[in-house]
Amino acid sequence: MAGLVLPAAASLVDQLDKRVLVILRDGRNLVGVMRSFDQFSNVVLEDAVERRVVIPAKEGVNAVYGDAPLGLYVVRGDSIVLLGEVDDAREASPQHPARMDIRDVLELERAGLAERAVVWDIEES
Amino acid sequence: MLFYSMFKTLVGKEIAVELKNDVALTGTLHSIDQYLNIKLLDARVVDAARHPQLVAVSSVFVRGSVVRYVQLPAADVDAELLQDACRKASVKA
Repeated sequence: MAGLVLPAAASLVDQLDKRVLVILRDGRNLVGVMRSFDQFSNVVLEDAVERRVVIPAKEGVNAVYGDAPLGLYVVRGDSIVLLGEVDDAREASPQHPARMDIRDVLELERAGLAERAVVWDIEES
Repeated sequence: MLFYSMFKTLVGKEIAVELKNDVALTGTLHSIDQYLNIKLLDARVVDAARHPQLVAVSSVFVRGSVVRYVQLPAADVDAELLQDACRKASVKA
């Protein structure tokens, strides 16, 4: 039996217990520690946060992000677009958006001073 | 299974993947499964200004269902072999 079964989504095994960024079909970004997955790429994220990335309207100002805490999440595979392992060095690099308090990020959005980094909505495209 | 087999021969090669939401990524093909889920190593997002959050990620798992195109190194794909395999598969079916 085991020899006949193809390893579905087998490659996710390297990401177990690593901090991952999950991009969903509705455009949201989740960051959390991946604790489990299955053949449908359903995943369990521990200490999940929603990462809100915004690009300020003012020209030449770098993007910023804020993390809103969510808790333990089970993400259904069919709503996942991609899942990437977060590299701490790259996250801290100047090319990456700078971290801000989530309340300030939401305030920037509300005031129209910044726009969400991407409209990823696959259902619409 | 034909394309799954083809992708398996391309493991270790540099490929570019464009997703249905217009995001494009390049990287080294690390693995593929029967859903054509793709795992890229040392992935880079093509338009980092539009998708700055992707700067943070190194290896990326892309769900097969959201892929629009995959760009492959032409020299590494034997189109004739693929054509033959396709014919054989259709005769069998």
